[in-house]
Amino acid sequence: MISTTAKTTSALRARPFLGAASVVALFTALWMALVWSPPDAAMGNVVRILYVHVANAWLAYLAFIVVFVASVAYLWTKRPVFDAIAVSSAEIGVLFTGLTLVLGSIWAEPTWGVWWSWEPRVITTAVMFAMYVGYLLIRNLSDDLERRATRAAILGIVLVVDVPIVHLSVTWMNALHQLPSVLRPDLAPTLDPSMLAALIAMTIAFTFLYAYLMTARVDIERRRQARIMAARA
Amino acid sequence: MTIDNLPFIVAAYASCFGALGLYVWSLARRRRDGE
Repeated sequence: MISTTAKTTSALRARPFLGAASVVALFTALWMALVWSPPDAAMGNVVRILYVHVANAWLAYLAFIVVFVASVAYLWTKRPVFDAIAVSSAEIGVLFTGLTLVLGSIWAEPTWGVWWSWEPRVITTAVMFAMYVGYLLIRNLSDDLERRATRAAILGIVLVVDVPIVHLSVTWMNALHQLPSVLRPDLAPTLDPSMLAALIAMTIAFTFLYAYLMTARVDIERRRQARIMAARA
Repeated sequence: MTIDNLPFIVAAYASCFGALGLYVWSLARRRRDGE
């Protein structure tokens, strides 16, 4: 039998702080991305879309790595809080991945001349989006908390393999998508320092936002687990 | 001052923060409804 006592955790107490930090960091990052940073020499002002596109993509990577770690922790300990963390991070990761695709498409039209291209980075990202939507749907196949959590944990461990595939796809194959300009093997970003600062500011802001969303979503899932267990008892 | 590709930039930021705002609103609603 698994314990599902929903209790106030330090993460929940941090939620107001995380919400305030997200708002302040987002306004700062928006000012840096839209006003402070210069237009790109080749792309012009459309480069400003990349600050949110890349931040969403990186946070999607983080969210799915958290799904992996929480899934391993669930199988190891069988504590339902790790299943709540995994499903919450998967849901938020799907949102970030969907936004990555939409923002990439809006950026691609004025830059590549097309809204969509069947090239490696776009295909692997779309596959990652579909796989984690499947992860969320498969969870509904069983009403049994433990069985559902175990199946989801196995899937959460397997699916993370697509994260490095997405990131490295542009280096493995001829791609229309540009090569990594920050997370490079030589750890030497090729961006202009002011553009790199705006991108880092946006990534920090999205990281605060992710943490805030996680505290809210995990709380909802813990309450749901407690209700199911109470109804079963 | 002319900003090149302004409609694309506006569409990108509006869709990004619009979707994030909707998600925050949906979480608040799910919490309030005791989902």
